[in-house]
Amino acid sequence: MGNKMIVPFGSQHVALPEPVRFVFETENEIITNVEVDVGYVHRGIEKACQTKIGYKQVAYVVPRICGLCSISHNMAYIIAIEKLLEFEAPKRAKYLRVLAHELDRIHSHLFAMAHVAEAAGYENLVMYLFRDRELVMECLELLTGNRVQFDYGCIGGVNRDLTPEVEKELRKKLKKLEERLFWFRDVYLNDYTLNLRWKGVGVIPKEMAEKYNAAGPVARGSGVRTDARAEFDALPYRELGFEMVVYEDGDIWARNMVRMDELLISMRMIWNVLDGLPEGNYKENVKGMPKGEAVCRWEAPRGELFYHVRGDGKQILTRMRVKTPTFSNIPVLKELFIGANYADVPAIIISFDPCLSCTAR
Amino acid sequence: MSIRKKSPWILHYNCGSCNGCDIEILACTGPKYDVERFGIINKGNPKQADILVVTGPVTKRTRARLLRLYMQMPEPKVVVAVGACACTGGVFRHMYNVENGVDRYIPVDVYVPGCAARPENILKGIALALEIWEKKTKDTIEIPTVIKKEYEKIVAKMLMHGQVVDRRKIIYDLVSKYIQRKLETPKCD
Amino acid sequence: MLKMFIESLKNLFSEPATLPGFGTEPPKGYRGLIVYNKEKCIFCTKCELVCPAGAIRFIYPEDGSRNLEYKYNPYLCIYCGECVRECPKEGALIQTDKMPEPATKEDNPNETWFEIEKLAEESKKKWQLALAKKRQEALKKAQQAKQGKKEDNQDKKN
Repeated sequence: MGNKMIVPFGSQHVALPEPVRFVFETENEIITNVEVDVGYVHRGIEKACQTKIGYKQVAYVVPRICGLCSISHNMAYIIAIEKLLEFEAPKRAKYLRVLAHELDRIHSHLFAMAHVAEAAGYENLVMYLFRDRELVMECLELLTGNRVQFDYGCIGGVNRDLTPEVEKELRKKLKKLEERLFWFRDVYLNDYTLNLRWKGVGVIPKEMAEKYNAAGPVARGSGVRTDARAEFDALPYRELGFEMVVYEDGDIWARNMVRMDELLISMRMIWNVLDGLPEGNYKENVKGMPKGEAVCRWEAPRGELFYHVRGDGKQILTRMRVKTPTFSNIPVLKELFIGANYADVPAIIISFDPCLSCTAR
Repeated sequence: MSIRKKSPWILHYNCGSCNGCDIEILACTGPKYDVERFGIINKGNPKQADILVVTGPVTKRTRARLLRLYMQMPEPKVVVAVGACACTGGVFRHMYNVENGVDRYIPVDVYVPGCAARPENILKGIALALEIWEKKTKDTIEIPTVIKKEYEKIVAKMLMHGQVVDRRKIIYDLVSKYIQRKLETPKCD
Repeated sequence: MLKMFIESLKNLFSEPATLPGFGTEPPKGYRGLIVYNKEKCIFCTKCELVCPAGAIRFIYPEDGSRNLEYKYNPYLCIYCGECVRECPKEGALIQTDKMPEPATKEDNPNETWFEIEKLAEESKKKWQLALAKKRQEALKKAQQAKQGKKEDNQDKKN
């Protein structure tokens, strides 16, 4: 018989910047039962979008559901409404949307990798990653006007154009960034202490990932081939050179390597966009009111995002529903804790890259 | 007491925000806007913190936790509200699960606007908060310095005359007299 | 591990990456504070309808004329730029590239804005009543003027 203890992982913690509550029941430092409490961040956005806010202004309220995947919410909503109004955006606007979205994916993945390294105790690597992430933030500020929360997409195209001076600055900074990315990949593959900390910890077998419908790098690190960019045709990804990245191990090391390789593929896509940008308008006028139902599936940096929109011919929509990727990953998290060591808990939670303000909007 | 001014420690709590302002606070501790050269560390312990940094519109579930954290911090303390959501509620004003702004529950000293607030603005806000904090410490430290001089005078007198000195009783009498005097005279605000 | 050691040695002898603490400005094209020009405004109130957060409010006068007062709260605004794009007159609303300044306890931005919201709603109702009255009086006068003309014509014929 061992010692039974109840340990709370409360809503204010120095490891996580978000409020979430777990209550663990441990016996001799091995976890036997978990209670998950999500819902500190519920603000009532869907109800307000159905009663008070018109369908044009919802495009500026919805990115404030989450600050890390903000442009994914923006683009998914706009594409769903454009399907209702039967309008197709001009080609230059589509390429500019891909540019902004892939830059956002780079800075979100760098942030997630820095957070995992901090949980392993490697502060030197955290500071190097933050220094190189600042290059990406400067690029985004020149393109859209703000570092976080870019209000870039609008119904009918994008809000701002890419001028030649901005393009010169972008090329200079992205060249510096690419050399540093190759150096980081070497460190993550071959470093001795990181391999000891991360290999064999928090393993998700392939059957569990398929049974519980995991999404994003969590599923692709366990061998499941799922990615919304390869299946749907909302933006021209296939002609820009997109490839899916899959690893078979299923532990924390494999999830980090999936994110690292996705960064290099995003860099390649950005160079293709800058070299082959077509001429034309970046914004057009759209007429008509939304009537009917439409659905959009999109790939956010953390998994698959799903939007359902229904309108009745008036300014205010009748129904809007959002399904976020972290919401599908939480049952896997609960199954993974049972039988693990208590000291591994912060590393496992942070390697999932949770975005809890998306989960309970 | 100038040691405390040179390294204030921070407690950071997220009351239901979208994480945009939290990423900017973490980027403040990165190499580009280096806030650790001013001596500021983000510790997670309320009993060791001087400044409370709040983000997010307060939801109905987090307001009880926010009050408990505020009451566990020792005096003197300062509160900084970062972002448009913490100042007045932001885009979420008048939604059904949201209280509009932090200053309905806690007295706030500095408001930093922006969506999301820039790291340079956050540094300016913390510098303003440090000046307000200095004024507050001067008010609360008056008691020991004033009483110390009177205590030394009395002890020197008693030792000269050769009497037995009961230090605890002397301090107790001095402190109670001082507090009564402060309560009676009205403060002109 | 050897790689990190060599990189740390290299960083000892290169230039630092930190900016000075205070005094740096945001770059050109940053979305900052909004500035209002009263002479060019035509008081159509489109900016109030379009703002997603409700940071612009107009206070209506009591006599039914079109001379409104403009109130803006930089602590509620989300700096998206929709009001600048919707304004039909060029130059009435401009978006600069300056950051907004932090405020202290004495400015009290939240309480004063609740009072302004109440004032705006009440003044709008009174203004609409006053406008309805004005229109009724104008109609009556027009009808009386028509009847007066008809009588004059009949008198002339007779």
